[in-house]
Amino acid sequence: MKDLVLLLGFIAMVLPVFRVPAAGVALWGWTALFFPNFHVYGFAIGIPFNKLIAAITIVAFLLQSKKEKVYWDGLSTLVIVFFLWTTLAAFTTIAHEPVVWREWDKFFKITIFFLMARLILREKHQINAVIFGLVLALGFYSLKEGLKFIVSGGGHHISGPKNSIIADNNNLALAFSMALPLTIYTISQFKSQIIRFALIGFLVVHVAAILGTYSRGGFISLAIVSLYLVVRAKRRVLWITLGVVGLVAGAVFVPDKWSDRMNTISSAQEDSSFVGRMIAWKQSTLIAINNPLTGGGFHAVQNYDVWAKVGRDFHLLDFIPTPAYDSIRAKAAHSIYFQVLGDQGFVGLIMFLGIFFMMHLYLQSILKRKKRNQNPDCDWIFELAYLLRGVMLAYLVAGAALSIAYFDLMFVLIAITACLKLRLDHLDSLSATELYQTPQSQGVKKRTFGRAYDKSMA
Amino acid sequence: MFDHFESLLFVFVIALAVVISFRTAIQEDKSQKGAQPRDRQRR
Repeated sequence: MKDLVLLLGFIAMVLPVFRVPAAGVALWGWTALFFPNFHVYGFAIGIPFNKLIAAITIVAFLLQSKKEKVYWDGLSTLVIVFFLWTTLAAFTTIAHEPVVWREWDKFFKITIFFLMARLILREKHQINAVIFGLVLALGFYSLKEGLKFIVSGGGHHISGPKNSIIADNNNLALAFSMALPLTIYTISQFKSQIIRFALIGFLVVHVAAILGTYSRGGFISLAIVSLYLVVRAKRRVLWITLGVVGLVAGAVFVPDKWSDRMNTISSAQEDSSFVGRMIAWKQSTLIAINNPLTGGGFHAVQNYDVWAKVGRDFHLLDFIPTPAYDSIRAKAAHSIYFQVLGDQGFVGLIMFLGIFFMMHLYLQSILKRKKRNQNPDCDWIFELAYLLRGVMLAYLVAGAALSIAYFDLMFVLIAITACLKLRLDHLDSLSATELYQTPQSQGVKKRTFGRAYDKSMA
Repeated sequence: MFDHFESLLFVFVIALAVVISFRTAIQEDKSQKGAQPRDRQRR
C-alpha cells in the first residue's frame, strides 16, 4: 500500500517539474533527506526516486524555452573549484581506488545538486519551496522519533534511516539542529495562525528529538542554536523563561542514562570516544603532512593500509598527549575539518574553510544592508540570512566532531546563500535605477523609495 | 499504535510534497503574469 501511495504521489509531484524546474530542486532536496525507498518494502523499493527527480529537473532546466541570464559569484566558483580539487585528489589517491571513486561519485551528485539549485533558484517562492522541502523531510523523522522519545519517557534512542548520511545518531542530531532555524523561517512564512501553532508544536517535538539522539554534539549544537536565536528574538524574556521552564521540565523528565551521557561532556578528555577521535585527527593530519597538496583522497583515513602506514609517524605529534594509535582498526575522521584535511590535503582544507568564510561574508553583507533597506518585500531575505547564519554555526561547531564534510543539506544552503545575495543585489540595483530616474525623464509620477520595487520580483 | 501513526505521517508527508510542488508551479505562473505588465510598462 505504501509503495502505491509513494509511486502515485511521486508521479503527481513530478508533473509540475517539467514546466517549473524550481519545484524539481525542492523535491530533489526532499528526496535527498527523506530517503523514500527506506519506508517501502514492495515494488517501489528499487525505484531510484532521487535520481529520477534529479534527471527530470536537469532536463526541464535545459529545455526551458525562456532562459534567464545567469549571474555567477565567487562563493559558487569556490565550491566548484573545491569539487575539482577533490577530483584531482581522487586521481592521486593513496587509498583504495574503488572506495575513493564511490565517495567521489556521491560528492559529484551533491555538486550537481548545488549547481542546479544555484542556477535555477531566483525568487522568493522558489527558495521557500526548497526550504519547506528540507524541513518536511527532516520533520518527518523528528516528529516520528521525537514523539516516541516523549512517550517512552526518554528511553527511546533515536537514529536515522540505515545506510544514509544521517544514519548515525550524531549526524542526525546535527541535521535536526540545522533544521531548527529553517523551521523557524518556515513559521515566519505562514500567515495562518493554525499553521503557525501547528509548526510551533512541531518545534517542541523537534527539540525533544534532538535530545532523543543521545548525542552530546547534538546537545551542544542545540544549545548554540538556541542561544543564537534568543539573542535576536523580539520577546527575549519570554523565550528565556520558556527555555528555563523547558530545562527544568526536561531535567525531571529525562532518564538518568541521558543525564549521565551528557555529563561526560565535561570530562571528555578522559572519555574513550573522545580519545579515539583525537587519534583519528592525528592520523588525518599525518596523511596531510605526507601528501600536503592533495591529501589521501576520499575516506583515506578509513583505509587500513593508509592508517598503518601513517601510524609509523605517530610519534611526530606526541606533543599532543594521546594513547598510542590503534594499529588494529582504522577509524573515520570524526571531524569535518580533519576529514577534509586527510582527504583533500592542506589546499583542500583551505578551500573548504574559504567556502564558509565566504558564506559568512555573504550573509554579513546581506544583514548589513537591512537598516538602510526600507522595502518590506526584502524582509524575507534578511530573515533567512540571519537564520542561515545559525545553521552554519550549528554545522561548524557540531561538525568539529563528526565526519559529515560532504553533506548535501549544507551545500544546498550554501547555494541558497549565494542566490539570496544576488537577489538582494538585483533588487537594490533595480531600486537605484528607479530612484535616480527623474519624474520628467520617466514621464510618470515619482514613486517613493519603499515602493520602487515590483512586488512580483521580491 | 505507532505503526499506524507512522503510516499516516508517511502519507501526509507525501501529500505535502505534492502540495509544495504544485504551489511552486502556481506561484511561478503568478510571478510571470505579474512581471509581464511591468515589462510592458518599462518598454
